Amino acid sequence: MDKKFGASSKSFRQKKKNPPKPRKRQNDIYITTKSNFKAQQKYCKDLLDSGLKEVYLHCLGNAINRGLNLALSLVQNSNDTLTYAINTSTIHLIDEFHPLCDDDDVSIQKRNNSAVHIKIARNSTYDIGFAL
Amino acid sequence: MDERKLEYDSTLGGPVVLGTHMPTYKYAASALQELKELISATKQTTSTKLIFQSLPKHMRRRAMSHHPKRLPRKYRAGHIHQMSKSGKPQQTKRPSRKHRRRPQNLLKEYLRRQRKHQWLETHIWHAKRFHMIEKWGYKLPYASCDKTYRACYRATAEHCLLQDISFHACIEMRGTISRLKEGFDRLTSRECGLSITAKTFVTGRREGCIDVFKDRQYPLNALGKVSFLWRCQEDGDSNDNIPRIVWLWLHPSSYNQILEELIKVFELKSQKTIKVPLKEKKSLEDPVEKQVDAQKQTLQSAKVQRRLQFLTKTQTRRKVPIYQSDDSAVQLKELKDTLNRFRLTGPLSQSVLQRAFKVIDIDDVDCKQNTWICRKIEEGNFSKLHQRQKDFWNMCHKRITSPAELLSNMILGLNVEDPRLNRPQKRTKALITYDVQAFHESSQQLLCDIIPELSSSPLWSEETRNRISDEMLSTHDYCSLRAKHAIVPGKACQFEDSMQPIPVLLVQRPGSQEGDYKRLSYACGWDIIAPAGYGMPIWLSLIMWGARPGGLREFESIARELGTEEHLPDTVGGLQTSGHRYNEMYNKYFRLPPAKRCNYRKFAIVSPFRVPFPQLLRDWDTNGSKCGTPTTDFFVLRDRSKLQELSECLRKCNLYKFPKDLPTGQCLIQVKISMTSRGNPGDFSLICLPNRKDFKKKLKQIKNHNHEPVYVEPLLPDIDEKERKRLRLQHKKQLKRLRGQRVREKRKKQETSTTKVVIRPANTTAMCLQHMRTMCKLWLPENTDTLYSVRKQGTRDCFGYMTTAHFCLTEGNVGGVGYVTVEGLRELLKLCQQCRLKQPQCLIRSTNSRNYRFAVLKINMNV
Repeated sequence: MDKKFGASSKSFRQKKKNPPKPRKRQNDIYITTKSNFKAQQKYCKDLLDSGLKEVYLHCLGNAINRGLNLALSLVQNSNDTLTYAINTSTIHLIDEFHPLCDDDDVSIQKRNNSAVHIKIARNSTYDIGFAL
Repeated sequence: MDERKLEYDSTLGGPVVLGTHMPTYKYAASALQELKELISATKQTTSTKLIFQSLPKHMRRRAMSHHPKRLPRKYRAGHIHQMSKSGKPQQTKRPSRKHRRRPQNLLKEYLRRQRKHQWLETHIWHAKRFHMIEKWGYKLPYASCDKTYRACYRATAEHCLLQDISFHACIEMRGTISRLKEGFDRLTSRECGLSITAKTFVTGRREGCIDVFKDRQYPLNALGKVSFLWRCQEDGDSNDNIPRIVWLWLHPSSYNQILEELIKVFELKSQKTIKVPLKEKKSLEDPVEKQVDAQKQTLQSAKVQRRLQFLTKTQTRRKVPIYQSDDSAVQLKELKDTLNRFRLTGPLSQSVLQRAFKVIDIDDVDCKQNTWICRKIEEGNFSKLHQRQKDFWNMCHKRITSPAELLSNMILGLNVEDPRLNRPQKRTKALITYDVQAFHESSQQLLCDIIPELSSSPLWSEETRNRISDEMLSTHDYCSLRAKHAIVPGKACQFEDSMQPIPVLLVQRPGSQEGDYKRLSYACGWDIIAPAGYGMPIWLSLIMWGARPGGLREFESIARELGTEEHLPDTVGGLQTSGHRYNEMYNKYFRLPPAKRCNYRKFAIVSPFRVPFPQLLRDWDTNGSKCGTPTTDFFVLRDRSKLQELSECLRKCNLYKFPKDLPTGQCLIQVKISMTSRGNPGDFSLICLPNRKDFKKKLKQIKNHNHEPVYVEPLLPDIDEKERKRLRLQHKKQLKRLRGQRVREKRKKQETSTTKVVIRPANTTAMCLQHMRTMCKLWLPENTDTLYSVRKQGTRDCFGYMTTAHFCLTEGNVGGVGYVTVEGLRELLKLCQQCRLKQPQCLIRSTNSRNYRFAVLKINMNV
C-alpha cells in the first residue's frame, strides 16, 4: 500500500497533510514560519505575563530555527526570570499521492520530520509571592 | 259608493246585512289572500335604498356598511349579498392567533407557503434565526440575523460550522461501468482531472468531482461541477459487466440543464410515458418450425409485459421519476429532495460527529421490534461490515484530532443510534479527547487500512430508505413516550433501545491541500448524507454539540477564503448569479439621487456592475478577426497540465514554459489576487498592466515608507453632463407646460359647469419612462462594442477583472479571485521578466476610485 514516490514523478501529485496537534491547551504554541516574529514574541510574552507558569513552543522541521530564536529572545529579554528546557522528537507525517491518470489509486507515503518542543518556564526563585 | 259607505249597516238603513255568524274557512281563505299580498308587497321594495340605509335612525350605527356585524343579525346575509354585488371586497378579519396556531391549521398554512418555494426539513428552525431568501426554487437561509461573519470564519478555521445543503440534488445512475464511461466521456474531458470511472473512485472508497459540459462541447458551454460517489460492491466481485450504481450530487442552479444533458446523452426515456404494448411482434424467423415455441414465448412475454404495465402504473409513493434507456442498460432516478445532506466544516467537526453519532451495537439489537436492521442482520455480510465500520470509527475517536488527517474524500458508512438519544442537557462544545498514548503509536495504520467496504451502507437501497422514513418515531411520539416512561429526567429509558438505528454516509472533505496556495487543511470537514425525515433530529443534536449554524453567505466566504469561486463565470450558475447581481446593482444605482451617484465616466470605468468578459477577450484576441464583434463564448481554463505550466511560469517569473496553443480569444485564467500593501478594491475591479515607471516608483515609495497609490488615473471629462442637464431641464419644462394646459382646460370647463370639475389625469408615465431611459444611457453608456473599448478604458491596459474581492481572514490582507486573459498574462510576465522582478505583480483599480495599487498573482490549480 505505502510505496514511496519521488516528488518529481509525473503520474502523481503530492498532497501534504496537516501534522497532528496532540495538545491544544492554552499554553501550547505551534510555531509557523508564516506569522510575524514580533507578533509571536509578543503573544508568548503576554501569555507569561498573564500568570501562566510555563509556555510550550512546538516547532516542526523548517520552523525549528524560528522556534529556537524565539525561545532565546524571550529568555534573553526577561532579566533572568525565565528558563527553558528543550526536548526533541520525531513526528510521523503522511503524504498522499493523488493519481493523474484513471488507472491508478491513491497511494500513501510515510515521512518523518524532526520536531523540537521547548518549555519556557518562570524561574522558581523569582516565583515567590506569585499566586495563581 | 259614498252613500253606501255612509250607510253601511242595515240597522241604519244601509244595504248590507251582516250575518249572525261567519264560516271560518271563508275567513281563513280571505286572510290568506291578504297575507300573500302583504308578503309580496314587502318583498318587492320600490325604494332604491340599501338594507343598512333603510333602517330606522335609532338602529343606525357608524361605519355600518363596512362592518356587517353592526347590523341586526337578520339583515346581515342580505347586506353581505348586496355588498358583494357592488364589487367591494369583503374585509375578512385575520383569524385569531389561537386559531392559526392549531396544528391542523398551521400545517395547512405551511403547505400553502411551500407551494411556490420548497422548504428544507430544517426550514422552520432556520426561519426563526436566519434571513431567508428565495433561490433555485427553495427558501434558503442566507445569513444569521446575528452578526456572525467572523464567528463563522473562526468556526471554519478552528471549531465547527454546520450548513444544511439538502438543496443539492442527488441523481442515481445505474449501468455497467463501460456504458457509463462512454456517456460521461462525451460530457467531460480528461484534461480537467480524473474522470468519473477512475479506479480510485469506482471502488467506492472516495468521492470524486467532475466538471460537466454540454455534449461534446468541451471546453465551451460548461454546466457545473458534479460530485459523485460509487456504491461499493459488498461481495467484492469486481466484474465489469455487473451494473453499478453511482450517485451524482448536483447544485440546483445547473440541475435541470445537467439532467437534460444526461437524458440526451444516454438516450433515456421517462418511465411515465412508456406504453407497454400488450402484443409482441411475431418473430419472422422460421415461422413454421418454431411456431409452437413462439406462441409460448409470446404468451409468456405478454404476461411479463402485463405485470410490467401494472408496475409502471403504480408509481412509487415518493414519486421518484425514473428514466431508462431503450435496452434498459442505463437507468436514472431523480432522488432530488429525498435525502438530507449536511456540511460540517472545521477541525472540531470530528469531535462533534463523534459525540452526536454513536454507532449501534449489533448484539444489542432487539430483533422482536422488527426494525429494518433485523432483516439486514440476517444477510451474511452486514454484521461483519458493520463491525469493521464501528472499529474504524472508534479508532478515529482515539487518534484523530481533525478530519483532515484521514484519507481525502473518503466515504464512511455508519449505522448510528437515533441522534435524539445522544444530546447533552445544555448546548456544549464538543472538544477533542485525544489519547496521548495513542499519539505515539503511528496513526498511519488508520490511513492504510481503509477498505472500500467501509462505504457500504443500507442507505443505498431505496426500499430501506423508504422504510426508515415511514417507521420513524416522530418527535412528538418520542416526547410523549418519554413523559410516560422516564422516571429520572434526562436518563435513558427502556423504550429507547428499540428505536430504529439510522444509516448515514459520511464523506470527508480535505479542505485546502496545497500549503503554498492556502493554509493547509483549511475548511476540512465532513458531509453527512442521511435519510429523509431525520433532518431535524440530526441537525438539532449537531447544534447541541456546539456546531455553529451557517447559511449561504458562508459558502461564498469559505470559497473566497480558499481562493476559489463557488460558481465559475462560464457555468450556468455563474451566468445566473452575475445576471441577478447586475440587475440588482444597476437598479440600486439609479435609485440614488444624482448627487450621490458615482460618476463612472469620470473614472474611466466602462462597466461597473458586471464583467464584460466577451469584450475583454475580443480586445486581447491576437489571431482572430478584428472586426469588433465579440465572440459570445468564453471559458475558464480547467486543463490541469496547462495550469501547472502556467503556475510554474508565474512562480519563476519567466515565459519559459508558457503554453502556446491556448485560444486567446476565448480562454480565461482564474487567478488569486492579494494586495501587497493597502487598498480594498470591491468586486468588478480592473486588473491592469503596469509599466516600468510604476515599478520604479514603487521601489522609491517602499524606501520612503510612502503608502500612496502608485499611479492615479487622470480625471476624465464627462461629455454628457451638459446634455443631461439640458435634457432634465427640458423634461421638467415639458411637464410643467402640460400641467399648465390641464389647469387651463379645467378652469375653462368650470366656468360653464355648475358642478365641481376635476382636473384631467396627467398620463405622462410613458414620457417619464422614456426620459429615465435616456438619462440612464447618458449616465452609464456601457458602450463596449468598439474594439479596445474595454482594454484601453484607462491609461493602463486592463487585462482582467476581479469578480470577488474582500478582506481575507486566513491571510490577513485584502484579496480575491479574478480572471485574466492569456495574452495579458503573457505580456505581464514579459514585463516582469524584463524588470527582473521575483514575483509578477499587476495593478488593481477598483470601480469607485482612480487609484492603482500593486497586487500579486497566483494561479489556482484546482479550478
